[in-house]
Amino acid sequence: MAASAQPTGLVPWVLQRVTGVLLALWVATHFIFWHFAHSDWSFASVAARALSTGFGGWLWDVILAALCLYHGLNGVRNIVYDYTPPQKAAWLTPALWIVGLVGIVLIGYHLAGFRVT
Amino acid sequence: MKKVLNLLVQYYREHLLNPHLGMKLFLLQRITGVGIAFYLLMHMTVIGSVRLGPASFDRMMVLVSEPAWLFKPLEVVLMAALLLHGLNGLRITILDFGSLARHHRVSIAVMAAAFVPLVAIGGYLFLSHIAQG
Repeated sequence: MAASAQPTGLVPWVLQRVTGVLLALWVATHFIFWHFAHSDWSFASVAARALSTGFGGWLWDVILAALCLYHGLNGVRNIVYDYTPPQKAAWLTPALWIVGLVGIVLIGYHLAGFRVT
Repeated sequence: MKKVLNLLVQYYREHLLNPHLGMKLFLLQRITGVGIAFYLLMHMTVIGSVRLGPASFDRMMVLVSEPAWLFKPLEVVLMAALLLHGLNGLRITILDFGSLARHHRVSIAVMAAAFVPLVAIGGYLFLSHIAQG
């Protein structure tokens, strides 16, 4: 493993690419599943379709949301770093992590709203 | 707000200094990325309304789908932005990990060759939904 005393930014860089490739496939599937293979947007229809995918379907959506959050927030981090050196923006990474973790909990909770009977 | 405007002006000036095609794609990647992030905030708000009850979810979905002549083209724009960001991202990843650095123009041409038909097919499928009512 390429480890060094200073943070090189290797892990976020690699993860941005890995999440990006996964998202390219996953978002396409999500889009096709909900937009092209389905066109009724009422709660009854959406909930029925969500329930038909079971617990695995909820997990699928939560993992998709986690990938999106990581890729997006890391992207925001990179944009900020283009204009402010990391040493001056040391608060940014913890703040983004908090946003991401709180976000995934909220998303998991709200997605379960389709599965309560 | 002024900072964002200054940023955009700075991007434009940098683009003028470096009119390479890859520079345009870099700018587009960033712009579509931020745009998709904003869309996702709205998407999560709309879908999250389910926790307020089925009736409010139905109202939200009606809110974001009527009038159809406005929202269907907006959805096509969203799909084009997603395709652009995704295909460009795949191109960048292959460039980063492979030896395509000498073949920029070819890689961009391949990406465009994939992008245009996908947007055309997707746009057609979307907009034909309007005709079906």
